[in-house]
Amino acid sequence: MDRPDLCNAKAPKLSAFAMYRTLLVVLVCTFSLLATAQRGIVAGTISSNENGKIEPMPFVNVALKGTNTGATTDLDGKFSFIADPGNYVLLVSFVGYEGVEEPLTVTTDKTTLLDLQLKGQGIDLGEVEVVHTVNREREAVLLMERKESTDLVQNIGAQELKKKGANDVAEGVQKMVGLSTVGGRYIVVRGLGDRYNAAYLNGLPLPSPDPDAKVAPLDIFPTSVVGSINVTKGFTPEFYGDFSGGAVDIRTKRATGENVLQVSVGGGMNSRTTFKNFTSYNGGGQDFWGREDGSRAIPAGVLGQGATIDGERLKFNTNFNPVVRTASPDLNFGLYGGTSFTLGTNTKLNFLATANYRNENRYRKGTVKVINTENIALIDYDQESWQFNTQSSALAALSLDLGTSHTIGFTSTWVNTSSDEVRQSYGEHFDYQDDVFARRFTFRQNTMWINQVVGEHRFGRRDRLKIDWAGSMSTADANEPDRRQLVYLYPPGSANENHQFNAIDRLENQRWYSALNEEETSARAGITYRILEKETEDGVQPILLVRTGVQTKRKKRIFGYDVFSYDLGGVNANNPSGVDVDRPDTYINDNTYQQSQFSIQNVTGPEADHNIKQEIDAAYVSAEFDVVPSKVKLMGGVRMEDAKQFIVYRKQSDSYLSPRRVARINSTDFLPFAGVKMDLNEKNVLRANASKTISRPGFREMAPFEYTEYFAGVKNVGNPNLQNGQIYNADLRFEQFPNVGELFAVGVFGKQLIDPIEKIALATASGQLQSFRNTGTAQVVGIELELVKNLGGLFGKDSTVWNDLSVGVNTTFLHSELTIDRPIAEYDGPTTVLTNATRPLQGASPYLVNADLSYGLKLGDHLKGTLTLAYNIFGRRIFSAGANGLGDQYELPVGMLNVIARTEIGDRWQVNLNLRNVLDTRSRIEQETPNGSTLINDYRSGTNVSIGLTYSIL
Amino acid sequence: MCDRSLNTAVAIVNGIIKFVERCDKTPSGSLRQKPETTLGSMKLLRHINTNLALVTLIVAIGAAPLTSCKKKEGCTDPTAMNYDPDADKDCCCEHLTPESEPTQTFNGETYYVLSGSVGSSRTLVQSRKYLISGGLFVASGATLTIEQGTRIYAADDGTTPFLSVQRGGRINAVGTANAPIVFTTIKTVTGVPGRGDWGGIVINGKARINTCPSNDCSAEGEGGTGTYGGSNDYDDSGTMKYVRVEYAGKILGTDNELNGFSLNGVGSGTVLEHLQAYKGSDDGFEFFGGTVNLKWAVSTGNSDDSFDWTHGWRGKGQFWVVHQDVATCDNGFEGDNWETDYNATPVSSPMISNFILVGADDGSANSGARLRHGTKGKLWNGLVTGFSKGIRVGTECDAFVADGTLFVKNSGVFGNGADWDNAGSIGSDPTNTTSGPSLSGYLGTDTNGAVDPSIVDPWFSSVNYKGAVDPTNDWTANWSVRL
Repeated sequence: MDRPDLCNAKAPKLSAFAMYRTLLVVLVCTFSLLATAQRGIVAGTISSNENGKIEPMPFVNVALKGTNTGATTDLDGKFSFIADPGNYVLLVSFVGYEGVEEPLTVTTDKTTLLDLQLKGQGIDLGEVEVVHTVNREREAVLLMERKESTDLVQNIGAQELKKKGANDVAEGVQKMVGLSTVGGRYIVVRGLGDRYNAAYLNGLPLPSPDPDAKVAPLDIFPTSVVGSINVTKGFTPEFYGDFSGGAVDIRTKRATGENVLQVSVGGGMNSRTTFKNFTSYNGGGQDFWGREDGSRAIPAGVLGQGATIDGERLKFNTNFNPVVRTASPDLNFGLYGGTSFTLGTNTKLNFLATANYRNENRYRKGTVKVINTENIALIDYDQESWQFNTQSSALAALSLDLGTSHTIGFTSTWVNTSSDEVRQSYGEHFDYQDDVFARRFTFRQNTMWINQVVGEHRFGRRDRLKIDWAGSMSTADANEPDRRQLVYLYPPGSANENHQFNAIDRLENQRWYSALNEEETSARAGITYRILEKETEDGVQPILLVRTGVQTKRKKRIFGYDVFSYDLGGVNANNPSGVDVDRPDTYINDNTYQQSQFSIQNVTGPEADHNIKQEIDAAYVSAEFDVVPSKVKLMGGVRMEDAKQFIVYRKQSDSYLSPRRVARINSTDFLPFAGVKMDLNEKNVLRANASKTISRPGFREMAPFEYTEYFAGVKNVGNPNLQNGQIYNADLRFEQFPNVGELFAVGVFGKQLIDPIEKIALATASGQLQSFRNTGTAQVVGIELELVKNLGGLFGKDSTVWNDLSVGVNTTFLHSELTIDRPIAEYDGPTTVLTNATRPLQGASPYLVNADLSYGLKLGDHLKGTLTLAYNIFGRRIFSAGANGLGDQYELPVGMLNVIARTEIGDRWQVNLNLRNVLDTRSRIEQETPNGSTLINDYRSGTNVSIGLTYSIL
Repeated sequence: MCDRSLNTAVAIVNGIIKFVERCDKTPSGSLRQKPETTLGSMKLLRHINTNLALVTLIVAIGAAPLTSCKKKEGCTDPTAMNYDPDADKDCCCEHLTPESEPTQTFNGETYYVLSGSVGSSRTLVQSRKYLISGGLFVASGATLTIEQGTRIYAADDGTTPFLSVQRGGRINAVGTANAPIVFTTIKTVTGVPGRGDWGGIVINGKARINTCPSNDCSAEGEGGTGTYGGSNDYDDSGTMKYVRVEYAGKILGTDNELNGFSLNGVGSGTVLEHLQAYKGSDDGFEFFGGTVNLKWAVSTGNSDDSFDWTHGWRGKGQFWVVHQDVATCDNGFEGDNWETDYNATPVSSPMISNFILVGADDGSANSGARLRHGTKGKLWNGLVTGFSKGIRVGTECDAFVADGTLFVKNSGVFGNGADWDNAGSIGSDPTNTTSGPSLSGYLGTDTNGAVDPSIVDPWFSSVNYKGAVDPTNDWTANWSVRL
């Protein structure tokens, strides 16, 4: 390696790179001291030579005979790898071609260049499953896969995710056309929210640790375990039928047999947080790792429902005092490795494992309001929050190749996220004569563990029959142990004095413990068979292909919480001149407890627990028929889905003396699908697709008991009369694949929703009450545009400086309209009080734009850099529907600009520099009233700067 | 987690409520602790088994769905008392044998348990003691009759006990001054009673309320107590006389609490006389719309508002007593139209004569009468003392003060931190005084400047004094309790 040269290198003339490059040089010079033995490089290009026509060959395996050292060629047929000095024989092999063995010598710090050509053996390549061995993490490969697919699929690979600076899957999917997220967590696909989407992991359903979300919050999946994310927007019978927006399939990294071992470490800063004062509290011993160590558990001896905590001692050990420290920088590190073992002539075991950790400190300040029709704030709070978030993940993947026809894979994926928050709200509340100061400590931990085994078997002449099967068992846990909240009242305008505990609504002073556990088992088995086929020079051409299979899913969820309320009236009486809000433990402690200054009561009610089960069994059959071979393909099929779901619960007004209540929905649906794919020529594809799908009520939505999604949130009450909604989907899309890695696509789609399940507002004695109805109809129509284009050509064919300049743009224009019938007296319940009977769907933006500009430059043989600017923005969308004469709440557009610089130095070092949310745009929610509009929610998140280093040991 | 139902079932057989004690062995919070403390070892083991099972499956799976994995035995019938949500294989379910009259015993006395719905007519007799567990609903078409002197207790079992008369249902609870009907908490027998021990009495009527865009408005009551409101302002939900409610007002969540008496859309055909709300955690009496009238009412030591009206109440009141005791007490009267839409119709516009509002005079930020959010109202013959602010009017009601649809007249407002707050022409009304009689608790009247309300409306009893209770004719004696 030319380390001395690099360290003395002058900064390149490109000014944008200057600082960056300087930084790099410093870093490289520092870290090069750590580099291991002196080694050499083998590099070159592999091309095919078919009757004199020479073309670069991607995905060719090259390796040094008798070693584990080697590589796979990229899309341009290029390869390079590092080797110890010595004399070797390079083996080059690819299915359908004659292997080549070429002697070579590797010299220390030198590059050995080899350009080789392979000759075709004249056997067919039509059925070579290249995708089976390729690295799906690459953009270009995914585009090829997309072109071949008969589904309406879009995908984003690990490479692109890195390039665009996505840390988690939620950030990743919002780079895709027609996708956005709400709150950075919940996906909206083509204007359709959670209910209309589905999540899979490696093709098997993914459980959700969120009791109110069908699709798991996708920010819990770090991109470090992701090989690619595929989003299918058109139903085909292999999918569970309860989606019509999109099915997000997270494909974890696969064991490909590559020998690799990488370590990475990184750090970052947030402009509004790092090195500034950060309010926290004394939490558990393993909070850093995102794990509750038991210190927040309900202590032994704390009594059950209704009981007042009595005894000589205060049983709760954790306290209420905030602690102010300085926010440390963000940190992340990880390990990634893979290898393979040859177990016999045809048997190979591939192994891959990765483990990653990431944390961040975040401060946010904003306002929160509740207004009335006079446009007067009933509640007007300033709100500050300090969050320490962690994300840990581990993935182990094993795949066993038994010859070329049988593969069995096992994947275990574990993710754990935590969020430890202190939140302070202060200001006016119409119900109190005084102002309010509230402080809450919240620790949330979500854990998912998913174990999957997948098998694929090919039989018959040229693999005419394929059998694939899979099984998955997973658990999802979501815990919120020992959430603590104290609320104080103080004379208006005197924020620093005379605080008293809120003793009027004593439930406001509370501890809360909640836990959710979900277990899901699923399995599938299917066969694919070419009934009719035609032999051509290129191999076998399927004429009629059928797929059939069965699937099953079993879900079980248990949810429960406990609440303890503090009656602090006596503390107030003992401190007539007020209490110090920053030292509440001065007043709430063992001594004052023994003096009976306050009491604690377990106020958990019968509605605190519920559990659900869902069982879905399905069978499907579909066929593909080549009407015009290689040109026009017709697809069709049907899925039968038999579903049972029930929830077991009690109402708040129930007695434990009566049995629990049960709400059930059983349904059998037949879901048809039809499509056509026309390969207009080698580069242009036209697809059309139509299907019927369903949407199921959420579990809590179908039970008539009242609950709040979060403390002090809006009350919800389920509706036992809910039924599945029906959705008719149609898609037409034109795709052009001009060159490798390029794409132009335009699509139109339409959806008709019959009896959609919508959230409505009901008249209530106090606060807000929401419920759900099958109501009216809704339509969504839209246009999607995608462009991925290399701009290198604009600067002349031989421009070496600009040949790796590319732009990607995707845009969605969407119109949605929901019509709500009201009021409906379908049962003897409260009146619907929604303000607008016709409005766009919640979460549907009239436009979504994602754009990125990426520039790559190679400096010499050992330095390669990529600079990416990624921008996305969503149009004004409904956050929540307005009621009681108030207009709908709209989330205003937020534009997000990220700048990501990545550099590869030699073959071992990689340096990433990310600037996220450069513009630090304000997030705002606006609500209209007959007397003007007001921002009811408003904050900024700050800009993040982070740097990461990756070192490849192997 | 503590399986409350299983424990409850056992408790019934023994005839004793013991769930709290039983739960103590495995606190309800154990579920909340379990996932993390046991995840490491237990789940790992389970998953290793899982994975072995999956590998075994490779051989067996064929095209059949996954059905074979180790199943946990337990009762899978959700309606059984020992239902186990974690079980996969059904076994040994225990169903409750319905007893015609379930009972429980405290201190050697038998209590008849009331729970669920009264579907037809039923009478509660003086010779028995009753215990309410969870909500007791009087269904549409049914009448609940309660004999004079009957005592009804709310269970201390982790539920929210309350009595709720549904729309179309009727209550006929007529006590006497010497034999009032008393609703209280069982803790008065078993331990130390406290504010908010139970829910209180809820009456849901069919009279008009104002929280909907449409005229025929139904709304959901607090705490799952039922739906109320409609289009019949003359609706009749029955009669309650000489009824005392103690330690009610359970708080269920933010802005979600029950009151001593929750009068939801109750119509003017209903008769309410001689009622007391004693030491509740929320409001003593709360009117959500409707037209019901209330004569002779005592609100004693309730820690939120003593009388609260909102959502378009248009009834009448006479002889109302507010007696507050501690710093947690909020306003004497809190009158709203609707905070969300001040102009919602029908507009709250009560007529109240002869009230006495006695605050604790402890410096808490409260008001004798807080009139706001678009309410109208005509108040005469009041005495207001001992609050941070005497009569406080929201600026949003200025127009009603100006046009005379909101007033307080012929009243003595005295001995408050500030007697008048934004009261405008109300405060300067010549019939009002900032002096009053010497009081003994809430006993005391003042004839100086009083008016006879029966001139305005014959519903009012003809009197010639300010205040609610004439010490020489104490109508609160015997049946009500004092601080």
